[in-house]
Amino acid sequence: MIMIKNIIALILLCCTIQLTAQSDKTFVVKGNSINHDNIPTNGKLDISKISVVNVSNKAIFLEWETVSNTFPKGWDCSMCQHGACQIGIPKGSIFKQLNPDQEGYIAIHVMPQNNIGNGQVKFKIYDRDHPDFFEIITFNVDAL
Amino acid sequence: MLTFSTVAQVNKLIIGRTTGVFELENKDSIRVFGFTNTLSGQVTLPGTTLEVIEGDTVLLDFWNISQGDPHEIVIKGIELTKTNTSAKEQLDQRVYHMEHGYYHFLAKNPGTYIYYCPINYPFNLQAGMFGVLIIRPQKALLNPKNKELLWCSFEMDTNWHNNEVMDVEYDEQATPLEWPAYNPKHFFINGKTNQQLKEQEMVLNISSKQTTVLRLANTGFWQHKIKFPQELNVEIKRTSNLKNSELNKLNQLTVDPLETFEIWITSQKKTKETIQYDFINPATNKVENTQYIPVKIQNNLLN
Repeated sequence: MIMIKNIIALILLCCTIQLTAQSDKTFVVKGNSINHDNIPTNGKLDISKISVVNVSNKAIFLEWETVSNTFPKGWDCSMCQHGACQIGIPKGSIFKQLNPDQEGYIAIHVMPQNNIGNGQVKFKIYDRDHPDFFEIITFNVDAL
Repeated sequence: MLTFSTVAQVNKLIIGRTTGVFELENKDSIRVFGFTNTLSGQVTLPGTTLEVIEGDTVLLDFWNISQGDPHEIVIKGIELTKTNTSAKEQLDQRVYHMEHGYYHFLAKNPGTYIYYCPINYPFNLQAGMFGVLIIRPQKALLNPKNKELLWCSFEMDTNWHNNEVMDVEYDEQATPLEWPAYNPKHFFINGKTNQQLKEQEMVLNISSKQTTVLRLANTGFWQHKIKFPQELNVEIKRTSNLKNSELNKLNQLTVDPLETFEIWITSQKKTKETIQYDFINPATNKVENTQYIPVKIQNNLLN
């Protein structure tokens, strides 16, 4: 009986920690965290964008990392984050400061260079000061 | 007489960047702005070279993938007509972050032209937003044997390349624009300097049987005086430089800022001399730096 009580207490404790962690989150994805785009092989994906918003009451700095990138080798692509545009898709970087309620984003640009194929790039975004909480955003692109 | 024409509609892509990385001779990296034609390609100085044929109708697709201030393209000596993609751009001629600006022009006059971003002039130019447009004459298609080279020279003050200076959104500044005093310590031809100019790709290899077409462009702020060895026959074919448009007795010509020359070089004699580039500070009229490019004469049967 004591053991069952301990297990229940442990479960309650875990739930409390989880809820506390949830309530501590400083940003959320605005809208869908997965984008799908189809483009002609001789065309351009001008922009595919996923936004996040600062839901805390103070300024935050979001960092991001590329989790995976399966875009075909022949594709030419790059990305922008809130505050800077990168050449190609690097391993990671940091957003410019996001004030309370302010939106930031990650966006990608693709030119398939006449190469048929599809690919996916995933980014992990996390608060520099609360790295345990993160969001994964995904861009799927088909060049037909 | 048989003639032919290859006039065409030509599309050229220019991507505007503000997070490029340029490696100095000592391997230090500095941040540059610039123009590329690929999304994943690093910025080069000069930016992507545009090549068209006389008579072509050209559409420049300027894709501004940078943040902060908007950007714009001008080509010195050519009038561009711009169409815009957003309502915001209808209000002015600039191209905003992640927008396209479409510029049209007729490639009427053969020659060498400098294109650059005039926003926050001269800051964006010094930051690296420049490149060269070549309009080849139709008749060049009939005689493609000439060897062609492009040398784009410029100075660089690395104090203009710090994040503190480059990240300022001058467009939003209420106060007049102010940059550090221009005090360049680096002097380049095609992004190379000093020992790098002795590398194979920069050595001027001239065949005694062939004319070498050399295009010169000054994208710096100083005068660049270029002295050729006396053994070289140098003929100015075209220039945008109305003030200094002649070769002097010393086989020397001056390229003013944002000016270009197209010269034809032949030689029947060997030379041990180099081509000398003097970088002249207009404030003092003094030569502040000199660069040297080796010359090699090939297939020399006459001497």
